[in-house]
Amino acid sequence: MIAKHHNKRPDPTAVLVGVVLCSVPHFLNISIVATLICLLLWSYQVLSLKRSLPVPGLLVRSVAGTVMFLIAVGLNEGLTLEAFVTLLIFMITVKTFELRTRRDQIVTIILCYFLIFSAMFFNDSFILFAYLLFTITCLTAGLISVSFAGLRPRRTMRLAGRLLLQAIPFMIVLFLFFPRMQSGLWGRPPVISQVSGFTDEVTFDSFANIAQSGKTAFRVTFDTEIPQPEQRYWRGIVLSRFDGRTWREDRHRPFARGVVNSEQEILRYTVTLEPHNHRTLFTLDLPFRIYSPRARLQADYTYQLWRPLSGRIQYEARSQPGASQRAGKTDVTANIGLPETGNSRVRALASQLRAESSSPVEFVQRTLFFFQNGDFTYSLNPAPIPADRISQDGIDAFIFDTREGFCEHFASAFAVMMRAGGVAARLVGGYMGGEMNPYGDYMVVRQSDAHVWCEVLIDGVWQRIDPTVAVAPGRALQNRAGTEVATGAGSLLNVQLPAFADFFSSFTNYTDMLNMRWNQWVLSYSRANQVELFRAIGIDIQLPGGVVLAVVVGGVLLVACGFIAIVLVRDIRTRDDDGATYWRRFCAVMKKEGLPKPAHQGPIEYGRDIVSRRPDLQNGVAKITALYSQLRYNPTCTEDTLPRFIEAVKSFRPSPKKRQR
Amino acid sequence: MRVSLASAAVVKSAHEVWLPFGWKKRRYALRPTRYGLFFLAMLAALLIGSINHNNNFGYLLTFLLGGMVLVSLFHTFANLGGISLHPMACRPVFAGDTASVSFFLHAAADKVAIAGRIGQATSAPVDCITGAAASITIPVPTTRRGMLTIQSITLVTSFPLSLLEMRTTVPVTSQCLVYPKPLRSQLFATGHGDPDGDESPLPTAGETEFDELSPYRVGDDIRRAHWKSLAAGKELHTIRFEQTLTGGTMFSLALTPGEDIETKLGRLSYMIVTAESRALEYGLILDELTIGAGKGTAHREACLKALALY
Repeated sequence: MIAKHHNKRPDPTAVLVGVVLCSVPHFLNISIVATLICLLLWSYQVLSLKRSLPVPGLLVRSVAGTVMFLIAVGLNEGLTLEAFVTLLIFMITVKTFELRTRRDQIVTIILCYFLIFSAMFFNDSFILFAYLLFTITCLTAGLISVSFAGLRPRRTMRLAGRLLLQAIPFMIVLFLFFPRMQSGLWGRPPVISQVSGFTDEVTFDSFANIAQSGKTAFRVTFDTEIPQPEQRYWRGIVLSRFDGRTWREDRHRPFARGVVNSEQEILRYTVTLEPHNHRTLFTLDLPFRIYSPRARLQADYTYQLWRPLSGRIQYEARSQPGASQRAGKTDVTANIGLPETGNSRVRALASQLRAESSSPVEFVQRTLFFFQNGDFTYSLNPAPIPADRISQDGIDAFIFDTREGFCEHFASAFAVMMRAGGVAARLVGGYMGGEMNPYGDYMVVRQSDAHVWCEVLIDGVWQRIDPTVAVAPGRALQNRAGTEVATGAGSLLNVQLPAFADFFSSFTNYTDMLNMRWNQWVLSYSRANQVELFRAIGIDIQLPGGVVLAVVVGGVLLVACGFIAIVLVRDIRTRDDDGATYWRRFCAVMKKEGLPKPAHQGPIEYGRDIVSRRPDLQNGVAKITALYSQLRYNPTCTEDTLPRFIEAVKSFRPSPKKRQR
Repeated sequence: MRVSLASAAVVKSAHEVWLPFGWKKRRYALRPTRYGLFFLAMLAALLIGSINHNNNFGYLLTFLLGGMVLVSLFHTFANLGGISLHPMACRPVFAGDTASVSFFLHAAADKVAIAGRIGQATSAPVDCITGAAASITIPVPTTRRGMLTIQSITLVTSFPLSLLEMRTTVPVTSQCLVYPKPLRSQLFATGHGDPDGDESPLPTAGETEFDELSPYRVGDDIRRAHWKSLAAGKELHTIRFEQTLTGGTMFSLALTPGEDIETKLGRLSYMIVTAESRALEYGLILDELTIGAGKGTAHREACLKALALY
């Protein structure tokens, strides 16, 4: 009959679809060559579904596998995460050439689960999660249809969807109550690898780190007023040591305590910082407090973590935009030095400007005037400085020859001129700007907003000077999207399709808002939240020993299982039809009478058995057993057989008769 | 809650470990399949990674997939419940052959891929559609003659994900007659009504001990046709034995040589099969039991049954 249809050779189409679905999100992460190889092999597979093409043998597959391994490693500079993913995709793609048995197919599908999960190493947005849900449903449907080839595709898909939906309560309960650890089991390499616009040192000629990426660096929600665009300087790191080419952080700085000036306006805000693998936190100029146990304040009013940031972090901070930053004792000596030689023309120019000025303030103004009117061009693609001059006379070459550059060049040159003129100066790295998202009340700062500016010590107070603004005022106040290939919207704006660009930018803003909520409500769930949650239901999981926690978690899980079990049990019970229900009732009645139904007896035999021992029940029992066997085994039974059977069982009363006797 | 861990003892046999639990009065047992082990290993890796990185995205995926496996367990459980079994008549076999033990499956709801198992023998999985009966056939190897009585069978399913396999034991009685395994021998027989007569060996099947071939006539027993002559291009011939005992041959346990009773029964079994295939008339004497001479399938089975149950 239908006995063997689950053994028929399953269709490999389902597996192929699964492989493609799981690989597509990785196309952004793996190299184009690898993508092309995959597409080529898949096309061959699709073609061979329609007509039979030769299937490569074991030797060909082994050789191809080795070559692809080399390609994967070669394309990705060694065994990186990207190489690992490329390798996994290649492996699965080669595996699709041998989907002869059910075992091959099931193993391939399980590998596909692994592949799609590795997408979380590159992206953890809400959209990816939604896509993962979809893919998991498809893979599960594939797993079911491969295992049980007799099922119709629609049924497997529905079943997979039901499994997913029913698993969601489990997911939520486990997510909330699974004990979180403060620290990992072993070291934590950063999970999400992404290009950061921020660097913790500034090398004079490096263009490599110019971030053209529209990716979010951090998001900010303000409890107080939103600062004006020209105040949106996000302090990250202070660079004091200059060796003629590279600005570095001064590592021997004392810790500090933030000072509050009670007369100034205070900004309160919460920053959600994407992992950047540096120790730096970003705060608005000038911060005085941050609410994070992992951060400490440096003497130069920057906050640093104990360890490089490998996961998203959220912190609340306070800043006073108008506050003045008083210099410490060692600030002057630490921020005045220049290399003994090199950049002689700049030194001469600075000395000349300083001599013409009556005060440091005037010197600063004259220098800025020089940048404004010196025919300098702001460019993200500046003319390269000749290699032979970089190490010694890089600033000279920039100021007197190329005159093209971006924030790093201007800030660096300005600070060198200040120092040459005897004024203490330093570089500050961070971000400048930020855009409010119209769909959510928060500000997005993108990687492309990365910026470097200067601070100059005048009368014992550090003053912020941004020479880049002097050269390109628009750069500071304009939305970066308009000037650079910053976001997807930006590139489209350049194509002059205003209506579509508007739509696209609102789409980008909307998805960013979704991601923000997703981060806020789901991904940032931490041990602290968990402690609060448990406290809300009256349990202090900070009690010594994790016993309480273990008991609670176990209990919750058991209750959840029990709940589902009960729901499903009702399901099982209602599946018995009325015939079975009433037959069981009849059997129960007879059991009370001392005549339980032996498991091996069918209804007719059982009926005969009863009658032989209790002849007084002849009428009722014979009727019931006859009707029941008709219901069960006679396909021609009429519509009223069931009601008659039910009626017979209902009216069957053995005991009174017995008493009458 | 009505779930109870019925027994702490884990049911073990040579190759398998099952986790048992009880439900009402039926006992269920559970174990992962090899795909399930692979899958669970993957989940464990995912969980350890998520713990190490304190990664909520990883936690979500791990728990979602873990939840799906957990939920699938209840689907598996539901798939195994509410099935009633009815044994089908089982065709007798000789010891050493495989008995096909069959059952009708009845279920109030659709069931997918249910397999029956007796000992290590497992049937092909079948679907059971509401209202229609499905049948499973379990190939049970036999070793000894007698009545093979099956008290219960195990229903197994790994639907829907094929990662976890659940089984339950259903009490259902089925019997299958196992004849003694025929042991090659000469045919020792006595003439009809002459129990003390001489042992008269009859020709054995392997040798060509018929005396003559006569042309086939209508009415001749087809089982005595000499097919080889037909195949050789000659006319069809019928074999005429020297000793066509019209009075019937009686096989007797007492007259059959053999070291022990099983050997003797095996030889008798062989004699009956051979005699029947040659369309001889034969009878059987087992101590007090005597089956008169006769031939035909029913007679043969009666004789073999007597041997099986001796």
